[in-house]
Amino acid sequence: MHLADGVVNQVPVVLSLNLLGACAVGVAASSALRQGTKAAAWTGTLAAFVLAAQALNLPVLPGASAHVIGGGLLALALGPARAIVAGFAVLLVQALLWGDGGMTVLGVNALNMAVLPALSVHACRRLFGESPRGLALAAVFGVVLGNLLGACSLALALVTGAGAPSGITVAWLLGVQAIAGLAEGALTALAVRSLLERAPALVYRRGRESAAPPSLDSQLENRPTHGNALRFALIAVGIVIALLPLASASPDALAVVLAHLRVAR
Amino acid sequence: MIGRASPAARLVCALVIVTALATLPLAVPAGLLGALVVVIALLGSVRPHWGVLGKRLLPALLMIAALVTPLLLSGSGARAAAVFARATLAVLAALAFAETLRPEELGAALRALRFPPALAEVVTTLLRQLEALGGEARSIGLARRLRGAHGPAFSADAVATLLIRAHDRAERAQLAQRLRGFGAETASQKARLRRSDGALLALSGLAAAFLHASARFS
Repeated sequence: MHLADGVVNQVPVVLSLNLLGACAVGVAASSALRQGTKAAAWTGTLAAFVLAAQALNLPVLPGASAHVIGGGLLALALGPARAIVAGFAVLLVQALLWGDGGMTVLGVNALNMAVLPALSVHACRRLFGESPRGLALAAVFGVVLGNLLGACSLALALVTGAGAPSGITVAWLLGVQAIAGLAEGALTALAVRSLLERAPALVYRRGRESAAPPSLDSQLENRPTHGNALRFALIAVGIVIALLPLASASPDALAVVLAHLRVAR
Repeated sequence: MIGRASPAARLVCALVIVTALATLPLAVPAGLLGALVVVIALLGSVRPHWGVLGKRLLPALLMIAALVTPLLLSGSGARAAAVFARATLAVLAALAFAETLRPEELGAALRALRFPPALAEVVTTLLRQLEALGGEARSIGLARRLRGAHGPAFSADAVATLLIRAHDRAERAQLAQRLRGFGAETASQKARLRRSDGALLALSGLAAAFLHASARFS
């Protein structure tokens, strides 16, 4: 589900989706910092596990493969804010060190693969409750919902920004991600159940921090956090304004699709 | 020149060049030709390990191919080819810069560029934990085999064990680092932008301007 650099042609589409993803990550990072740095080791460990798991592509349909996204495990074990930060850290490492997923579409990928899955799983968790059964249901339904929303967002970017035909794009992405989401949801439910049995303090509970040694929490606790979010928002707006003149003079994606349809007729 | 620059400068240059490549107009072949020249110059300057580059390029190419498949299926073959070429050049540039950046430099560079500290800390821990996870996974697998366990190598229980063990190790490492006075601030000072990075930053800006000029005025 990683979007690569240079695939989406329409700069305004890329900028607006990037801005949305960057703002969500900025808010999540501020919130995670407000909660303290107690769980940095656990957050980093889970992020490393998700990074390793994403390297495994498994066949889903004939001619299509998919990998886990990991948003469900992150959201259930870390809570939504830290899950978004961890998901974004995975995408950042993939883009900057491995060339997997684009640097210029990092915000779009964060929206599709970190923000939407984490928020979906968290919403399902609130719906189904905190019991082990509720968490298992939240894992399955949340991961499927997160995958579908991420696929819809990616399809939106491809259709409006790259001129991809909407029918094939939406059907292809939703079909593959729904099947992948079911499998990943079931695996997430099993992993979370096992974690609950063996180390319940490591699983996030609302109103309580994850387990962490308190001695590690002295350095960053009292830093101002609103300034960071504001700075990020201002930088994001600055980038939008600076890059707008580069907007492509090529016809709009929809116009290209309509032109193709007219030629076909 | 790229190798001698600070990690923060290398990240900024990577972002400038990749953004310039990714926003090239597709309709102008001269633009793609200019992009090819810039990417070849970049690869010549970085001199990457070709085997590693190839290994990383292959999954990226498959991913781009999957993304342009709907365009191809709708009969826009020329457009799909142009998108594929542009995205491949952008990935090659990103991989060339990635070759110059050591994993342990990334967290410090992010801090130096004023990314949120929570994010920089998670990136640093993540990169440290990748190797630890691999080691723990191997030892858990070996222990299971020695005890005569059958079935799939990794069950949900094994994953939980792996995560708990790796977390314990990460906490110990983090505590030891802090007790020895090694903080994120110390590392980020080495990664900060320096005055000597000006030439590289100016060069990457010029390359980006050349790319767009070659596409727009041909």
